[in-house]
Amino acid sequence: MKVKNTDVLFRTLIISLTLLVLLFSVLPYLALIVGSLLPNSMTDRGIGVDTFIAHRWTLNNYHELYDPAYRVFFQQLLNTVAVSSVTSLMVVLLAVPGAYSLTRYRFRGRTLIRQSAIWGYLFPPIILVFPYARLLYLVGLNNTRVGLVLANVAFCFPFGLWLMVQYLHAVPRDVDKAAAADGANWAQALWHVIIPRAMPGIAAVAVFCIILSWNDVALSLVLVQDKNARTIAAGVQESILRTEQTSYGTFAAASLGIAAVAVIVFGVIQFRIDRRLREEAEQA
Amino acid sequence: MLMLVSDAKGSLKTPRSPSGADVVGSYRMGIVGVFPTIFIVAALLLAPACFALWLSVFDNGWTFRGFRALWGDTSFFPSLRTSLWYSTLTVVLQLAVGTFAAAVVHRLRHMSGIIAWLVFIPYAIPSVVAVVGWKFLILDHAAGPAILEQLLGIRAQAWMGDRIVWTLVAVSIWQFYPFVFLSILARMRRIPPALYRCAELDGANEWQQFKSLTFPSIKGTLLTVAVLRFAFMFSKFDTPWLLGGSTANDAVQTLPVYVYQNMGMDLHFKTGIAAAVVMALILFTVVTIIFGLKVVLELRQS
Repeated sequence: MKVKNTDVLFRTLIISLTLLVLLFSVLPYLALIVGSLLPNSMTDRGIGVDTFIAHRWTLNNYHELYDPAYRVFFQQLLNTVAVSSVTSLMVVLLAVPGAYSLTRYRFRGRTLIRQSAIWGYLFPPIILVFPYARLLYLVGLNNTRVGLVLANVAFCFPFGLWLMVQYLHAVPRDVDKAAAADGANWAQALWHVIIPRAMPGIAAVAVFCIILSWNDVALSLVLVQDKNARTIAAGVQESILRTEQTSYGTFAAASLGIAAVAVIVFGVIQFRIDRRLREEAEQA
Repeated sequence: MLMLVSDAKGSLKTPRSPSGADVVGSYRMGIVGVFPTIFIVAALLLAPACFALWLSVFDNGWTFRGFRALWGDTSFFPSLRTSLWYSTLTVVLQLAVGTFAAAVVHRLRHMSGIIAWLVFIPYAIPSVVAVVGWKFLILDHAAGPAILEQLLGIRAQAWMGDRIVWTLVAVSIWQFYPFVFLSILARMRRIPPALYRCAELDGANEWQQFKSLTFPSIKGTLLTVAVLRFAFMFSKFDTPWLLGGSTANDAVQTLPVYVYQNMGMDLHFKTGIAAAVVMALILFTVVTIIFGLKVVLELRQS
């Protein structure tokens, strides 16, 4: 086939734009890795060309994390793991039966609830967090991880439910009918027949909730004053970013640990979902 | 994981309803599953929202003190303006970059997995971490600003100073275009590959394939994502706040930051909560408009 001149030009343009986008995407976290391996004194005003030339690589920033001063961060990391996994579990437990009813039954207000993603986005944390703080105070849950979990559930739930509805909707109705014909009641059908088929969806909802509550700053900052009960995103920003004295290198070392788990786990899940979508399209 | 948005068939509209009529006997009880949902939404979202509304107008009797204070506050309208253009600009750019990246990855034969992963990473990183990564790159001693100073004559300090708002825009696009990328890519993956082979046989080049095959399929998803993104960016608190940090830079005082700063102080609580109510109203209006647009588009198509 004859290749036209304009095609070559178009390709070159696309390839260079792609490289630019990739560079834009990759540079900041590369900087984080490089910064964690350089002495604080060299990076507290940014990573310059001369920083590279001098290259006094060190693992000091990582050693420093063992310092007792950082012990509170480990507590906060544990809090974050606990809060985000409990949040995620609760949202899944609530969203699965909810989505099941929403896709299998007709009733008044169904459409309204189904569009929960949009309604949820209309009540962002920053608007509700202070009223929340007062309500939690009334029931004696202020300053606790339980209160924080409740708040996180509230803000993860609408989008989680919406996702779950999309997935359960894709499970064919014939499956339900077959289960009913075999004498299963709705709960048995849900547990034995529908949930196994909706596993990727459940994983997606769980991951979404973990990302959101893991990365949350606003809720933890306002609802929890006790340093030992805070999550790490809020804790870290308070102790490092808000003080005038900077030690970005140590911070970068700590944050790489925080981010690594998320990046790897989500990467794998993303990869698998993408592959499945492609296979399905190929069959279609 | 955001591949999921694809399963919406590019639409937030409820899909044609399944028949619930032909299930029998004990099966009918399945409707109880929705009760926890209603309870959670009522207890954890609607109740606090009503409480917020009540707080904004009631304080030992009806009062509009908060709204009046808001009207008179010289920093409210600037932060509203900042918020509006910040969220509009970042959403448009996120859509552009995300769609571009998705279109490229979609048509790649090799390496699409690894590129998708590289692009996805910023989304999984907490804002606190993201801001530090960016600081390494834009503080006054860093390589990038130094080069820009040589080329364009922009002071290296400006990126954390009077041009900080552009840093904010860059960080925001960087953090959130992966969401667009993943949603759009998932939608593109649902286009049967056979259609592309047909297009190739007809002699359509890559651009023509995008224009007449890919783009029409993703239009619906694009609008949905635009709605979600706008609502999200408009209420984005942590990125501007962390970036502005202790410098308390007015240039990055978006509406959520304004709300936070006022509500956090007892003295200005009423002002803050009034601002929150205004913010919710604006969100509501914009989302309704974009949604209306979507409905009109869908009607015209059918």
